[in-house]
Amino acid sequence: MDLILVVALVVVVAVALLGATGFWIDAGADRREGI
Amino acid sequence: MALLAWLEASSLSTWVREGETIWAFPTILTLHTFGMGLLVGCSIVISLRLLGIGRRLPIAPLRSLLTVMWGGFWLNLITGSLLFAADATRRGTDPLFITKLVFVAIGVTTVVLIRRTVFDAPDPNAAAAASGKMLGFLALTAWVAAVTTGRLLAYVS
Amino acid sequence: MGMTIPHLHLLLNHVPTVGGVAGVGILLLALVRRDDHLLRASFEVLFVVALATLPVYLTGVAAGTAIERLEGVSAEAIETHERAALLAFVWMQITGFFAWLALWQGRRLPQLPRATVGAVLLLSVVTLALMGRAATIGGEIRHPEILVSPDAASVGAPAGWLESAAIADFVTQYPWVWPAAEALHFLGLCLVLGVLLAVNLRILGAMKGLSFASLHRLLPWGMLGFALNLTTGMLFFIAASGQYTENIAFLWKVIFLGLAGAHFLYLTVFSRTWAMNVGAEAAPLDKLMAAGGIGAWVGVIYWGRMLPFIGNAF
Repeated sequence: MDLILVVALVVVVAVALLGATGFWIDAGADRREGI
Repeated sequence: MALLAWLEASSLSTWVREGETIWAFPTILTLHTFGMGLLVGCSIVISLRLLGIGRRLPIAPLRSLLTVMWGGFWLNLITGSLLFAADATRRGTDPLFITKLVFVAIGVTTVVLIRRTVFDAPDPNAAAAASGKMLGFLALTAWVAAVTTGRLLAYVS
Repeated sequence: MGMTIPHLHLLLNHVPTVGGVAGVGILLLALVRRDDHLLRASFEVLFVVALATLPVYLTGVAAGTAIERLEGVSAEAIETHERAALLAFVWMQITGFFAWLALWQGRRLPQLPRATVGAVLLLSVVTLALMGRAATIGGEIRHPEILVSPDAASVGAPAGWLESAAIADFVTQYPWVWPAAEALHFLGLCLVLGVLLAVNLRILGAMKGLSFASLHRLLPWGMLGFALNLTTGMLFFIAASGQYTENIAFLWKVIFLGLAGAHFLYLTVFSRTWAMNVGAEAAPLDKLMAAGGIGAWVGVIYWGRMLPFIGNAF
């Protein structure tokens, strides 16, 4: 059970980081392309 | 329980599990991976659009991705059933496996909801802007959970 | 083929060194001459060099295992070299990512954004320095004539977390690491496949209601998925390299990865596909490329999933 929880936590954090990076790149593109 | 034992002992399941050929377990598992890639991958793209990525991208044409997704779903239903049957007594009583199925069910349901409320709407772009974010996020979460629990099956129990 | 792994490594390791110098050289020239085309070309070179550096590192680990017991070979030098190489590899991949990002941004804008260009300049210079250091230490494995003193091989090698032994220990010590990395690896593959399918299917004729340029917006997500899988993949490799360096399925996976990476560059910068508006039909050659691109990723997934079954069993 502990293993499952830790894995879940790590996955959530990693996905959140990846998502944040992606959104940041996308927002930058919106800004530069004047959307 | 007896049903699970019968499933596991069937000649098909025995072949999947013990057939010393690459066409048994390894191939079925590989096809299951492809199905996952198709289903979850296309769902991620649709979710990203619903969450606001590339807001200039008209959402209606992405409908074609739904077809790919259903292909992945059916592939995984079939391969998944074979994989389950080969290990039925263990998986059938495994709370982690049942959790995975629950997340898959949530994912599929959410995608159906997305099709109905966004793609089938008279103005898909407006519908996406109005109610898409929540559904997109829900689908994403369900699939991330499904893939994670699926992977964990190899390490727990 | 008749070529040993150490020989292959010695051949390939010219790419991050000589190729890196060429890339940075063209970059500097482009900045001095204020030549936009040359600048973009230098970034393409840097991206390809970064891609090619993956097999360089992988063959290096395999070569190390192959020669460490030979006469006249310093096992310490191999270890020090590997440590330096890993550090240089990581910086090279970060440089490659930013070079790609600049190309992606630059495809969509009249000029490459200065911030990204500046980042690549800085990163590539640091990478070059680290690569040079790794290469020099590598030379000391078998070239006693360049060794200043017997202890020179181990000098300048700070121990830390970014080294194989430390990472391998980390994976062994914490049982959650490998499963978590695998879950992320599978999620990364879904992300890459999803994005690449959407873009390539458009080229093949689906979703004509979209312009290529609008789907082009999704490419950073594909690259992020690629980056996630490179990171988790390196974790697996470092923690258990024996499972991979002697596995024919892994060789094929890396080959297909190279093809996929090259295809990614094509999708990012190629003018004819970029110009595809709503309703446009792609040229037959581009359709072939798109099919090939999907095929490359299918290959990566296939050989990856087959790792425990083909070659040696886990």
